[in-house]
Amino acid sequence: MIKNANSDLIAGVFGLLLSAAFWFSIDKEIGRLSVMFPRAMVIIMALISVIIFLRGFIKAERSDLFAEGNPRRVLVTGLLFFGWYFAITVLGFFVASVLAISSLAYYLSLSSRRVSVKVFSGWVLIVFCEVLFFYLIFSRLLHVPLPEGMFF
Amino acid sequence: MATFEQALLQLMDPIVILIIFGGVSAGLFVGAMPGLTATMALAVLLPFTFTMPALLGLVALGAVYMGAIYGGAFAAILVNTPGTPSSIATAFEGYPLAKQGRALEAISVATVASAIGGIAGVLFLLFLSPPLAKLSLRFGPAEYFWVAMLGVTLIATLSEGSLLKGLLGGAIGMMLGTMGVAPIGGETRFTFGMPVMQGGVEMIVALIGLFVLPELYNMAAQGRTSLGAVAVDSKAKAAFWHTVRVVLSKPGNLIRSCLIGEVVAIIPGAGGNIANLVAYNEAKRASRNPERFGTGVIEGLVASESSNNVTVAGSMVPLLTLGIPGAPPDAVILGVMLLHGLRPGIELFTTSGVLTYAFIISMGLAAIAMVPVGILGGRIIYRIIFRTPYYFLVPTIGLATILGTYALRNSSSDVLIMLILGTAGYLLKQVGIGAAPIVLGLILGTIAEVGYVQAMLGGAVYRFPVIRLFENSLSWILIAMVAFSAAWPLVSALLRRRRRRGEGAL
Repeated sequence: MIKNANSDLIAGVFGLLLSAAFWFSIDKEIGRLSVMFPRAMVIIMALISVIIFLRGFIKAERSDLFAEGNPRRVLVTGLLFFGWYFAITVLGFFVASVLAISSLAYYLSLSSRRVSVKVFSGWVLIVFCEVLFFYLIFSRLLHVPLPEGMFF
Repeated sequence: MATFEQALLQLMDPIVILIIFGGVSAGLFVGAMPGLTATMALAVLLPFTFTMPALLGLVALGAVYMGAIYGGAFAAILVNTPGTPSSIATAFEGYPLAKQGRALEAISVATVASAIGGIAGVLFLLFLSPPLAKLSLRFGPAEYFWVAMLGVTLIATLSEGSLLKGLLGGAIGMMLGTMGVAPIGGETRFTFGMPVMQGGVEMIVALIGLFVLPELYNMAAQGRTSLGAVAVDSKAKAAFWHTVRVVLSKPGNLIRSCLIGEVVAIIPGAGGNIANLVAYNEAKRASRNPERFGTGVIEGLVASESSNNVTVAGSMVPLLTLGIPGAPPDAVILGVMLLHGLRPGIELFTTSGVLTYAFIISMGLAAIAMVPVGILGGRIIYRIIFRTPYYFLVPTIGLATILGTYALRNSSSDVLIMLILGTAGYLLKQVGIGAAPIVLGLILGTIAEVGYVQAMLGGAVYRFPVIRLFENSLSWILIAMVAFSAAWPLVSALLRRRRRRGEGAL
């Protein structure tokens, strides 16, 4: 947790960085019609960011960041979500999802209980059936070509 | 009148009733899954309708459409995730109610409000089609631009804390909307050297990421669902007739929300996604206790759910009279109509009157069918959500969001964009920039850009093309509404301060 952070300053800097990223990626050869609106919007976004940034020095809004719960669990959960995405591209949707859901369920359950090998094996079976259910609905009923990988 | 009676007789067929209930149930399931939209449900159903008689095909599509828009409320209430863009505002009040142990009551209120909204939309369609269709034709680029600006003023309502941070969120959303191919001009912008960004940021991808992922991160951080620790109220408050009384106890709110839903619905391109936010904003503005909004206020829930279901039949006004689809699902319905040789226009109400009126009335029946289907389905979904341990709920919702995001365009890149936006949304929320203004900016950005650039093109004959934005009387009406809407927070704060001072003096 980060206590008593100046959230105005952080939001202002973020807005300014984002405005700069958009501004400098405007292609000079791009036509007027395509750039008319975005250019106006970047300027407006930068102006709002400047005001928020300045307010951070004058009358700052302070708050505790990541105050609720355990930030480490957020970080690991996020990494597992991104890992899930990359695993889909390598292992295919089905295998990657069974692995990712089982891993997530195991990791998140550690905060409230101990999980024996027997219990975890049961969970993997439930997860397998769950993913199979969604897999069949999407691939067979809705005809969505789910990503294939190393296996299928 | 004979046509109307014949239409009613056609709907007495048990197969029609069965299709209505089946369609509403299927639509409810699709709507409750974040990422699966009404358009997708209708597109999937489309091939099955080819072999059906015209009436059965249209009835099935109408029922699924009605059920899907309503189904979005379930995810909004139970997991703070709008199942469809039409239920964004539902989450603002529905989820706080669920956190107070009043999830069943919230579902019942959403059900009754949706059913009333659905029926109101059908009545509007039956009796007001010609004048409303004429009004929709008067909307040109300048008017669309001002409609978008009117939407921007909603940010004042949607900002959780600081208005400035809400505006920054809105601007970020608008910029996200400009990524990819320009709607006018056709050139590619802001891809940052990544070819996958050429397709831009799909609004529903952003909606899923920004609303779902932060909630999953919160559950992971706290080691429980936000609903896990609440004491559940008695079922009495969720009883049907009690709920009907609650919803009807504020008739002004209900009527206003239905009217807003209808007006938004007839504007092609604007649908339930805008109607629910506008209706919510107006409910908050009209309330005597606007500061209570966001804590589980029934009026807000009623406004959102009634207005979005009005748009289902409401958006058929330009479709049936002019052949202009008011919302993307209407384009699918138009396809089926054309396939059966039904051409939009006056002939639809004369030569094919029986079929057309039967289709319209069937949507009203679908709205009524939502009550038993919704209350029963709602209880089942509610039990599942409440009884599932959080360590299974988080990855299961994750699975549904990944699947829903992927299935939108069969694109793995969309999944990555969703994850990045969701993680960014969680971090931005820490510094006071909420998801709602960003999504609103994304919705309105494209409307504003197309309206603005087209108006500038149309005004090229003038020395100052910007004059084109101020030319028509309808534009001026909208400008007045924008000014009123923007000034209202200041005016109401001033009035409140004066009232408090008056009470203090007494």
